[in-house]
Amino acid sequence: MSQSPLPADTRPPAGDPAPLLVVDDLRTEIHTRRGDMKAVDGVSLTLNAGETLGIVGESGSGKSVLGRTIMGLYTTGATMTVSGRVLMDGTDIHALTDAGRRELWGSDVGMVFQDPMSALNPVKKIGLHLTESLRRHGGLSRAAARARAEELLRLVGIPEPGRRLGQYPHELSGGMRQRVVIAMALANGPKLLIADEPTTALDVTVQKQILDLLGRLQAELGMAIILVSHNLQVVAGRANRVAVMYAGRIVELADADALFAAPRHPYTEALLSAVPRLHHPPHSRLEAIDGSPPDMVAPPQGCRFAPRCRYAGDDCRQVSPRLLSEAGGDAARAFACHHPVRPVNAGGS
Amino acid sequence: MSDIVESTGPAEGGSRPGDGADHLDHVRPRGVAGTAGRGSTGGRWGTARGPRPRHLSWSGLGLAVPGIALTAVSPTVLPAPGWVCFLAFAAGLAVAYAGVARLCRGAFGGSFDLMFWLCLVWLVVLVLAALLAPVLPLGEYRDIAKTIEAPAMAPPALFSEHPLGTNNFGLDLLARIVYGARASLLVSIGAVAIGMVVGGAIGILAGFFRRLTDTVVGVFTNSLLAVPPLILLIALGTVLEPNLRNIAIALSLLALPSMIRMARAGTLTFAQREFVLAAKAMGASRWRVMVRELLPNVLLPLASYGMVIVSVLIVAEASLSFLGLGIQPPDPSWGNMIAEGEGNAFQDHPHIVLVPGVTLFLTVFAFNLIGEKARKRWDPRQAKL
Repeated sequence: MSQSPLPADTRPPAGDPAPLLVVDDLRTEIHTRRGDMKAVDGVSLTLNAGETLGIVGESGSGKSVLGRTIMGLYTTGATMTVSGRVLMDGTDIHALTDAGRRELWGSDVGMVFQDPMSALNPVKKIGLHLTESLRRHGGLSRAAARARAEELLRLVGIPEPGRRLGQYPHELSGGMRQRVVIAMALANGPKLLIADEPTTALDVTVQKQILDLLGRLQAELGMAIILVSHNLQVVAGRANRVAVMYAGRIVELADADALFAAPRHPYTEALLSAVPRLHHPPHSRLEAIDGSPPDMVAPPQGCRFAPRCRYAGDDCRQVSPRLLSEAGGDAARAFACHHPVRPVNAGGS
Repeated sequence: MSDIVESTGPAEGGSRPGDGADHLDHVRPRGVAGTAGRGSTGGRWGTARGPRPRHLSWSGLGLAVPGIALTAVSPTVLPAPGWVCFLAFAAGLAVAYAGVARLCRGAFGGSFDLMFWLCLVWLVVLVLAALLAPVLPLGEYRDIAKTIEAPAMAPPALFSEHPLGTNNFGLDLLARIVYGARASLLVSIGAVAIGMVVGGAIGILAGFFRRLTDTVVGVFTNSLLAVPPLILLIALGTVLEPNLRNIAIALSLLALPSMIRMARAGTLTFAQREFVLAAKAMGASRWRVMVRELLPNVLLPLASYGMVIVSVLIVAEASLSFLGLGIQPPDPSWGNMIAEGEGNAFQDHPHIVLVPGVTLFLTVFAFNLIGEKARKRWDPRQAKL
């Protein structure tokens, strides 16, 4: 059952000795009435400074829980158990005290939420949202915090920032609100930004604006981004590397270009073929993945995708595959499959 | 309250057909303002649409003047039996109200809510009078020794020395009403304040921490609700000395359960919103989340509910005093003033009961109406966000 940590050879090239973030065998179990739900089940990954990691997967695959557990928003408590290590700049986030974690949040790690409608407090003005954390973490004076807040709003592309500071969230459009949420996350110059489905609640034109904004900010400020999304297009072209999650585990981890060009895990392949394309003939049936995701309270033995996989053999139902990179293949690429999809261009495996 | 205006509208239209255009003039801006929903913006609509934005409503004036005259004349001058006088008085009030409402809508815009402003004015006057009681030129309210010369049971006469009459000891009823307002308002507003602070804090804690805290608070709240309020107050009255502070504390027990429940329910809904998680992700401590994120959201509905509860507690305090468990005579309270009408006093001298009774009614009505209006405006269920 247990998944081994990511082998050393799958880690990014050794030019960078200390990655910004190391996640090692992270597990999050949510205790429910029916039993323990393994929302995140042995995830290991690394992230370098300034890099963008995309995490994709369908609803309920544990993407959001992973993002929040990495941040340390979920810790071992009455309703959930968290194990594994998350090293941020060498500090184990889960070993910190509550006060220590609070110091980290909002300064070194920022978070952007899915729904800008509810991520802002309706009775607080925009200015207060921004200045609170500036004054707490940065120790700025009232006037300095206000000036910095105005600067932040200009940075995220909000016109008339001075006037916006005095407005309430309901006076702003959804896209503007998401910009404010991003500005809040950026307030103290974080090294890592976790964007949990930042564009899901926005309409398509605004989605592109927000994603472009994140890309521009990353180029300007040099922070690392974890971009969580169920939408492959959101991640494509914006992430350096992509992790595909299924049922609480990473099933494939690769450079974005390689992953989209030639998926190796059957689930990734199925996901990609389920994307509607412009060059498909009209009225052709959209490919769907048969079946539904497994019950995470009692996941199936062996590979969790096996019941829905067209390549599955008997071994898949017995032994859980480990996330490994192929011998003699691309070292930056790993997948967890006994019968990987053959790359179209290469000879075979 | 718009019912009153509407019901008098057609009757007036029939009697004065010449003012048909004027009548239409009012209907339209009022309808528009009804959708706008706010009193202040309604005025703008009225000025934007109406051909005569701010004008003197002749139909209003025509109603107001005879209405006020009838109201003023009926109780004293009219040579008729008592019930005819009373009917004439009521009719005069209704006509005067309809007329003044029209005048005000003409002068201040289509959505002017006269009843709201009347209630507000009444409360402001009452509070000011209660605050300034010692410096106002009022009669004797407490010391019987000073009123030996004064007439006992004098009926109300507006321009006499005792505008609202005197009681059986010759104490001035107007003065007693004003000093009684001090006790009634202080006790009930104090009780609501205690209930809001304590109940709000307990409710937020229960809603935020859930689990054991919530269970304990739930048992406490339900047991408070299970005890009949009047029995609880009587039981407390036998133990505690009846002074203002103790009565306020006892009455706050009545406000406490509902305040706790409202605060808890509000906290439960708001604690699940993402802004609370966002605040945590920005490094806010639990106390900070409760005070800076949850409290402002929970406070608005709590405060507007408090306005409604004040009126309940005014009545509760009056009942306690009526039973002799609240403010002790000779110190006046509206409750023990009504109690002075026990026995035959009410039949022979109805003003003894009517003066405090009507004051109590008007105050409770005003608090209720303003509280309802505040609740409608700030109720989270109606908010768009």
